[in-house]
Amino acid sequence: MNNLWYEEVAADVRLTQGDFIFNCPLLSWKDSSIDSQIKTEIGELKQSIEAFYADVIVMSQACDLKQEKVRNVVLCPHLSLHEYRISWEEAMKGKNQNPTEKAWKSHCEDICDGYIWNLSILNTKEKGHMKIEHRIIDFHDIYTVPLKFLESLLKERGLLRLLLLPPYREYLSQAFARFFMRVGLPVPITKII
Amino acid sequence: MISQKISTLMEGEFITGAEECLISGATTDKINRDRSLSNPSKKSDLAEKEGIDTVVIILTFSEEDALKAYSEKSIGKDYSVKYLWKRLLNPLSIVKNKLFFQASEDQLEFPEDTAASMSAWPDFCKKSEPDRRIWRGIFSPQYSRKVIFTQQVNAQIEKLPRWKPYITIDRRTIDRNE
Repeated sequence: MNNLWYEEVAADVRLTQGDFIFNCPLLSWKDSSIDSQIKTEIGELKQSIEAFYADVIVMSQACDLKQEKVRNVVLCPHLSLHEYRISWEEAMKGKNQNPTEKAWKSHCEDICDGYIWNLSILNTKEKGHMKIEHRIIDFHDIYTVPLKFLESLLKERGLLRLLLLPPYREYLSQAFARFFMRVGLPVPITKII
Repeated sequence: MISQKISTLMEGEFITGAEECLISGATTDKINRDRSLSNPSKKSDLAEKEGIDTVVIILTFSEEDALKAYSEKSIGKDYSVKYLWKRLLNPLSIVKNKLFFQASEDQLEFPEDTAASMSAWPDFCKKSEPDRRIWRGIFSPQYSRKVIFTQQVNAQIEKLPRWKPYITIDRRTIDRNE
């Protein structure tokens, strides 16, 4: 049985669930109020468009993509553990918390154990052409990009792609679903002594 | 006019002036569809012969086949038959081994896959349902998008800002650190 987490696929292989897309160009609205100085709403909206890039992973179901039941691909951003740690330390300092090595280790364990609902962690890949360190996926931000656009971009780039294999991609999908279906009980279950 | 013709038939005589369409060779295993009815020339023959816009179509089947079809139906075997024509008479009439269907001229242009029921109790023959397996729980209609505007964005990816996560430090993390 093949227990590998990842596979490297050629650029012309069709996009599927679990595909990594590095440096994916994305469009969004700016995270700020619209400029009320601009006379028309369309003018305001045009000024509020923001382009950026992110490493993303395909969350859309494999069967939906294969059978072309979707026109847009659902993507979630991810970071290397190293990059994520930089942002984590900034956030800790912003809350007057000391980002110690122990705190970092506890935080990583919490992500691995599923205590942090919006985050999921993927394993490192140390062999092959494409090597990656652990990746942190964040479900807080979700993007949709047209499938045709994405496939043409990847074909244009002509690069090898990294693919998350089953059952790890289904594990990620499960974590994604859990994030949206979680329920916080107003009255928690009392501790059992 | 039709009722007179049917009463004539009930007395054991065949209807005159109406085309009798037999679904020949039909058994409980298969149903041969008389595709000639979808043939335009055949249709006009019927109309011309009748001089009316209603045709009575008579199906002949063996009693044994009918009983077998019903018993198989009752144990869940689905014939998936479309039943487009209004049944003219109660099939439990005294007219032995014949089912009467009334169809207007328009109804004669029925789809290729329409079949008449071999069952003596056509009420039990259901219209076939769309196969849900085609959809498998996903239905994707083409939504029309209301485009506000379209704008060309010229950007070099390497010069674009990079996405950063928005991290919230929760009480659990704070409590653990203390």
